[in-house]
Amino acid sequence: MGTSVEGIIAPRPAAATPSAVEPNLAAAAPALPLRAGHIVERIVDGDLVLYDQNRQQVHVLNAPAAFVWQLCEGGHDAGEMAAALAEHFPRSREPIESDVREILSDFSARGLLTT
Amino acid sequence: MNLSDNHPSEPSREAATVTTSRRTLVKAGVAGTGGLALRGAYVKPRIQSVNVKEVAHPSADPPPKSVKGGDKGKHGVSPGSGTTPGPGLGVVKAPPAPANSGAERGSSASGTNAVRTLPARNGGGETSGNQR
Repeated sequence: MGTSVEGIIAPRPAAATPSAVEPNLAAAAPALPLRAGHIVERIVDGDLVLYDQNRQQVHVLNAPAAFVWQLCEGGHDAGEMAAALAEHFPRSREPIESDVREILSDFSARGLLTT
Repeated sequence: MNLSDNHPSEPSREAATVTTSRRTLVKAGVAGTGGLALRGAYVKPRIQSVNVKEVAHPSADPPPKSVKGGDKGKHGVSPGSGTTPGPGLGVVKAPPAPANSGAERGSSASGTNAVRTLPARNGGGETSGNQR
């Protein structure tokens, strides 16, 4: 009668996979992205590595993502960043802007940008 | 890192066509990557994330779980070795039961019967067996 469901069904333990950092991709990036202050930057083996001190997460960015990351100064929108990135890749200009918007939303979802 | 500090030589053609902010933007991106080269074909920006909490620290102090596991393992082995002398004693006790010791003990009383049975089999062929 008084038995609760919680007493019958044991809760499942959370999965502990080291690389399972799933961002909330629904999070939208701010119009003028700005890097969060608690992020430490290092270059390791040619990759830009970000360390989130609050969440204790390490993020490895490839060169284009690092390029976008460095432009997150709070004064440039995604279109400007895409145009700057496209200066280096004039052939593939169209997909760059969508990719920049995607990586910005990814930054935001992972808590790397100030809201 | 102030990205707008570095102003390496930029082609003057672009300076005429692009706005100042955009030109600074391109330079800032290049300088800000800190040596990360944007070469070759375009690659989609990508980020990979790892939780530091769940990754073992090779140089740091060993986590408490492994230490406890080691201690339990040692204690678990030592009682196991304690059982080994147990069967050893049992083996020592076991030999007295078989016929070898029984023959030795019984040699005084019933062992004579056992000794007689062997010559009784060979008894018939003793002469012929030994001669050949």
